[in-house]
Amino acid sequence: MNKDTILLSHGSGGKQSQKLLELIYNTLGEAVINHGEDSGVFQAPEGVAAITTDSYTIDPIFFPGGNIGKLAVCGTANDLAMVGAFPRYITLSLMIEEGFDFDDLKKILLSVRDETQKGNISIIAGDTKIVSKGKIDKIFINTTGYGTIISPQAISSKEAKPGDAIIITGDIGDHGSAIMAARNGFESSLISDCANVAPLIKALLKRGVVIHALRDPTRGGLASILNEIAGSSKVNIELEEEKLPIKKSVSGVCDALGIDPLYMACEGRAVIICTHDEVVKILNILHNEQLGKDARVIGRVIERSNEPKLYLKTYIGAKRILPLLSREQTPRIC
Amino acid sequence: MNDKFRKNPEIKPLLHKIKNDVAALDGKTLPLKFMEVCGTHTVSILKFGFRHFFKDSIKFLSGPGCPVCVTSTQDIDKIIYLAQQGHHIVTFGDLIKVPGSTSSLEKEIAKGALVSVVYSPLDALSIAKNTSKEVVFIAVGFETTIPAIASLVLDAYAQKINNITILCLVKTMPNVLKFLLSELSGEIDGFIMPGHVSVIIGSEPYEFIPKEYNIPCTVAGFEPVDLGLGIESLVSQIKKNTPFVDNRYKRMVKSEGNRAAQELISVVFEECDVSWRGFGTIPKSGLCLKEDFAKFDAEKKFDIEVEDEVMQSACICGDIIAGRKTPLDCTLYQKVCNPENPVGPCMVSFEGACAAYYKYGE
Repeated sequence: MNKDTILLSHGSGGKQSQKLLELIYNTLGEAVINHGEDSGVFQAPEGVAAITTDSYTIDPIFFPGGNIGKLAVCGTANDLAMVGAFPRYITLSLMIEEGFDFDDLKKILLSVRDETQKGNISIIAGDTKIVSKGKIDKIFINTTGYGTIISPQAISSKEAKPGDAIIITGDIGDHGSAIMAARNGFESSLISDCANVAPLIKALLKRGVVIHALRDPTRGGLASILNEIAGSSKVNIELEEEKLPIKKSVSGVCDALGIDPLYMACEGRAVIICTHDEVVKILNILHNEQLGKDARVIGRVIERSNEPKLYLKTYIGAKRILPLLSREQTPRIC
Repeated sequence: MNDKFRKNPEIKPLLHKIKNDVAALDGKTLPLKFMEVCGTHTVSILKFGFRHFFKDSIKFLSGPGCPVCVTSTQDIDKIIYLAQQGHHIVTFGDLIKVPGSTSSLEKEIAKGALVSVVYSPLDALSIAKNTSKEVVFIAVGFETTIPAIASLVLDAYAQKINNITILCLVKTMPNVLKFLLSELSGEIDGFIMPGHVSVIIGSEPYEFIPKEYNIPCTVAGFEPVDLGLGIESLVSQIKKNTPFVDNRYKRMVKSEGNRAAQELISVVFEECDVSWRGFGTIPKSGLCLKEDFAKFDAEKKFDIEVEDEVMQSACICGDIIAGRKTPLDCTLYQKVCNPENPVGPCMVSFEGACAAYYKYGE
């Protein structure tokens, strides 16, 4: 039975290691460049570049709409896109718990291959470590991404200005609630929104639209990242509850678990902050793309403020504060 | 969740009409004081913005309807004592962080206590079947939760599971309201009755309130339209001076309640005097296991030693539950007491008034 699981000896550097590396190389195929060298060597493109790094742990590692491999590629690609960079290269470090299933590893690697190929991203370096049983939870993946900046002007959380519109590229809370449902054994139709949004952002930037601030609402969700933008830009922001795109199935699960979709992670959405004049152009471009077909304006930057706050105009027309919550409302999910 | 009750376009005109009706009331001191008895209503009132919308016309007071919040410090100490004795504690998640007089379950877990969090009382049974340890289910809750606890006891009885007991801290609604009215009568202009509890007990048990105290009541649901209709009923009863128990949650609540669930409760439990945070002991305001099921009573099986209740904290949770104060009246709120470091249960439970005020940005 051992032949199906990963053993400590697969990380020893000997013959067993070769077997593991073969699986990795064969599965990833052409996505990997620079096989077998100690460092990945590449022609650095001219211009301004961006680098980001992130480590991924998630429970469960397979969830409706994706798995940890897809998440590790998309999450890093999205972080690059959020500063106006287009992802070119990615590194892939796998930390695997002894006893991990070979077939599961293959499934994860296939997702990595598919996402990198779809996103035109090359895997330029990688590493594999096998860790004794119980020392980590199944598998951790670290990815570092490198991309070239394609936005002519600075995109930053400090750039939100009074009068700006807040656009979201799709429904909120899908990823977080799909994970919560999977973890609690709920049967549901929820599917994570896990996706690479870089092509969507590229479509916008290629058409010359001006974006002030751009964020992907991952951990902490929409309310947390807008609080951060409000704080960095020293502005008050108002969201309109009526305009928030939340699937019924998502509100259903959130109501049942007593959690708020505004604080649930998304893994394939972007929040775009731009001047009012750019809204129509941006929405037209987004609506032509599959990932952006449900994009819409959900609020606006109201004014400059020394005590920046995020407000919610509720269905009944009352205004309340959406605070930055100090305690995560759910266990760590990404 | 149904959009008909949340995003209905008729909700705004309805609420504006209520506001105007309140302003036009003769001889009433504004803001009106309405008590929402149930913690889930407190959450809805804050989450949907009712508190702000009706700021000058209606003041909402939280009532004794958050099960964790009404549990006394002495009862929390009993739970901690049982955990310290090495028994396997099975509980709803809300209780973990609630501080007792010297410790909390959270602190005991860090020291090695065995505590499992469950969503359904019946999960305690499967835990008991798979261990030789004594399993103690911490039974907190109102009429909404009690039928499931009764099922647990009946199943344990039928399957002859001998290593399970319950620490019975369950409470019932009507008599605490009677007690509250003896203290606060004249200060409350209307009651929003708990929707979930009423599904079980119906609306009849509240009839004494309009009859004896002349105070309007309405059973309401939890979505904006449900709450709006409930508040409209209270204001209209005040306007016409015809208090009665209205039922604005008819899609869920029958006046006689759920007979089968009531039957289930009465097979296992009987009324008894229990102690409430903020009130002390109230006659016939809780349930105890009947003699037939005494072997499932943790207090009878184990010698539980705890100190008498001493109030030593500046926490005003008891006053908040009793509608005497709001979280904003508390000197500890936000500064010392927050969800990270809760001083009292009102900041711990999802349904607690302080946690709801904090979460919804008050």
